[in-house]
Amino acid sequence: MKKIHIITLVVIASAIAYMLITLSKDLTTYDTVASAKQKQGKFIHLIAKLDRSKEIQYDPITDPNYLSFYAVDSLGGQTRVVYHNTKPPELEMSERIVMKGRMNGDVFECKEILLKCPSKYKDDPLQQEKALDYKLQDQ
Amino acid sequence: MVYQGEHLFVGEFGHFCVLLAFVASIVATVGYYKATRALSPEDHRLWKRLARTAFLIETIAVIAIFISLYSIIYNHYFEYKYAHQHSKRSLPTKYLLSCLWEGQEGSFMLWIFWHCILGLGIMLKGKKWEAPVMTLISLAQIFLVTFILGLYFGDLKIGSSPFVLMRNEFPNAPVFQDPMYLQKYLRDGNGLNVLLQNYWMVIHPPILFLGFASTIVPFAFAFAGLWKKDYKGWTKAALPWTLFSAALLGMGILLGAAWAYESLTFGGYWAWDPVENASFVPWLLTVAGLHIMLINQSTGFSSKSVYWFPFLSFLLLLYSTFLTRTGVLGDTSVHSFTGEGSSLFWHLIIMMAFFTALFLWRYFKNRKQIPVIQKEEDISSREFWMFVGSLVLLISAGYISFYTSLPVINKIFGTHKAIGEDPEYVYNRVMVLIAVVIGLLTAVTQYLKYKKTPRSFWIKKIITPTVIALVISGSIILWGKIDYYTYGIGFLGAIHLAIFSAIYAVAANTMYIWTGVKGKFSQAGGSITHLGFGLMLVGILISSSKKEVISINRTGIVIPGLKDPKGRDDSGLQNVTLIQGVPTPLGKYTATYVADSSHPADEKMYFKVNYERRDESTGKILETFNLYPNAFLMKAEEGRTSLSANPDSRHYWNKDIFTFITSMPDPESIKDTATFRHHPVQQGDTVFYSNGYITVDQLIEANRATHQDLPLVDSAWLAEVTVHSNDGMTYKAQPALFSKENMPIAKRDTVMSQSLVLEVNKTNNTLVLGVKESNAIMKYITLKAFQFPYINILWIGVLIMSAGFFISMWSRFKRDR
Repeated sequence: MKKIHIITLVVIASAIAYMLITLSKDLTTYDTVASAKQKQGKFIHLIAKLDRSKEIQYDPITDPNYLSFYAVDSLGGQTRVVYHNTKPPELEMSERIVMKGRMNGDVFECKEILLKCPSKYKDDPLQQEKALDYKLQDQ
Repeated sequence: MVYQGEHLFVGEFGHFCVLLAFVASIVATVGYYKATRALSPEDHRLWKRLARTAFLIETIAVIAIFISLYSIIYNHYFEYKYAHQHSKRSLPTKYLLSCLWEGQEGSFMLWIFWHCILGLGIMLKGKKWEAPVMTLISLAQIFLVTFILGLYFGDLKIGSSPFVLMRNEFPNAPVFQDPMYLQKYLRDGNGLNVLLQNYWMVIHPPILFLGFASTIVPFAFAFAGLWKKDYKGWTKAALPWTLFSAALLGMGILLGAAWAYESLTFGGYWAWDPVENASFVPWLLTVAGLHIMLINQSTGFSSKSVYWFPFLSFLLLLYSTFLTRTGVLGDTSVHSFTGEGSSLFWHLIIMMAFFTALFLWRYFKNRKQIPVIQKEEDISSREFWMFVGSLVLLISAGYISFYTSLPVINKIFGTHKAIGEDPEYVYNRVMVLIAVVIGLLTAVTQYLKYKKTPRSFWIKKIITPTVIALVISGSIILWGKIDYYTYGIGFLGAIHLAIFSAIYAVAANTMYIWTGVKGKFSQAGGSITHLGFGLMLVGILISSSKKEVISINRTGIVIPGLKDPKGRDDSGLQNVTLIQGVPTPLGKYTATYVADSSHPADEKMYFKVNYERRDESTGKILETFNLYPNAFLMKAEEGRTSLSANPDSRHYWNKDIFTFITSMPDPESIKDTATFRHHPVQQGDTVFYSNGYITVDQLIEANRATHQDLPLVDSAWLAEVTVHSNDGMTYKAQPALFSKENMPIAKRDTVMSQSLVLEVNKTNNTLVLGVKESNAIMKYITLKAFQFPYINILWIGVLIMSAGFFISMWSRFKRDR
């Protein structure tokens, strides 16, 4: 075997070994509210919806870095969410929220929010059909 | 039903051109295939002529498709879905081009168009390689045109046409029961995504797609080399095209980074988002492939791997389209390309599978015939270290691809894995080590000779740049104030090591232009490219590790439970609220929200934020400037407004101050619920409010009898008051009450920063001062501000690197003639 082949193998093998070692630490899971509550203090991704029946608390004059709202997941699990950042402007319109953070007692301490909004889905046929109906009503 | 006012011809013409392009690409493929296989020169000539004609017809058809679609958008024919979904009347003309490539069909059209242009280039320059190379390009073209074909075979829909009509797509929508639907309902379109309304977005997609399209050329040459059993000659012809591909793909990606920096608000130019990664990986592989081709051409080594790299970069490019366009990324990407149809999903899988099978079949059929050098590469040879570098690039591409593909892995294995708390660090901690190795190799490898390098020769040449790099990076360690401890001392050390090797790459390659190629400009392409690449690395490393949030909220509150990645308490409060007219400290600056403005023809609202820096001891103003971050206010459902912000930056030669709006009060939602409290007052009285007190300095009563010159009104009561807030500020205000023909007219006065509204009123012949404390009068914005030092090194590096690629390409084309 040539030196260059040995080097190739060693480099690739060590890369794979490195990934296997770090993989379990780097990866996390998508959870529901119920399973998140079992994993107190562990960093997870939570997929849920905004609970529109409860109040969204955000007052940028007292504290621009404090947002609190309630989220409910598809299995009906509920939790309060605290996000130490500004309120994403499309929060009220979101259809689904992916939240990254930790469960801390009954509160989900959120570090990052990804919103899935109907406005982003303007290429989705269903949304387009709905939009056409609105046009009719606007007249 | 006869619909009124539709313009059907242009769409039918456009669709006809799509079909024509499809048929022509099949003819061109067959023609070039036959020409490649032709035994007699006469046959070859005839088939080639047919294929060239077909390819030219295709090119003309593709240009006609573009013109048709653009005229649909330009003339606002909203009966067409593409115009309706992607444009609107109020859009400035310069952004109408962006509408063309906002949609999936439009971006495939761009790709097809660039394939045509590249094909014409190969017809001109390809010589004996034209027929086999063009066979593959035309074959890919068949696949690409099917993406915009929009034909139904039973229930199976092949591709989606950009020329479909709204009423055919939504036949059940009630609006189409009306023959006048265009005039009544579809008078305007949905418009262009506000993030794309940016000048970078006019230029970034065409360049990026030219880069995308060009990855097929090296692959086609590699394939042609196997096919024609010319295992040595193809690299020479393919090299300029590979250089072109690397240059354009790199520029396209970095234009995207510039766009992200200027118009997105994640506060940077790169975020390891799957969409960015997906185009970065083919670039890494193209650059690696480029070096393998050089090795093979100069020494004959790496004669087998030289086929794999161009193939992999083409395959990974298709895969990147698959990741970003089919919606598989779903919840992991901030980019909002979403489920544009499951037909595209299988369409791309078939395309990837087809080209993979084609390559594997051809490669393993000819593998035994590929000449292999039995001797080993010498450890002091240039090719040895170039191969190691390419291997490292391959590893980094694999690492990035793995983490980017997690959603795909989840789909295949039914798992629910995602990258954890700190996705950027998962990439950065590996890429910083890759940067160390690549920087070192970039610095030293040019000084090695192919085959074997005498040690004394190499050491003599490398010593000067080594000393220079050590001195510069040593002074950066000592005085550069790079103290990025977020991930501990290990990562900081790796950053310093990477800065050293990046500077080493810059120094060594700059020297090499004189000592190596003796200042001969046409041969210096490689060194210039490496020099630019080194500068890019320096810029990336310094700007990222010295990036500073200057809008840290100085309230001193530490949030319980919020930890930084090393587990220390993280204040994490990066947003500051600016109340209009109130100077607020922001790092070394004092920022004031001065004013805002909007224009009915422009959806944007502009905010004027004044920055001021004073000398701490003397209080003298050292510097003052205004930034104008802006935001789109979009009407959304239920009367709400939503905000999409664009940052504004102050550019210095050595840093940028970068500001954007993160939140503002919704103008629709402000309702004034507070009421006036009335205090009977006399001159000299004091009235308290929640945040201080108000003194009544003077009360003036005037009427026609006492003041004959009183204009317009019959009588007037004026109060001159001073507001003393608890923080020691004082504000003057003059509320008044007028009476005209026995009708009271109140002239209220406001003290914005104290949220006070003051009025004068008269009850039972006594004057009262009305005090209202209201949030609604307060105008405020919440913003985030960063300081990016030395970001310009990155942009200068990009320019130099691109220039280097083009110099190499040009000199190789010339040599090839």
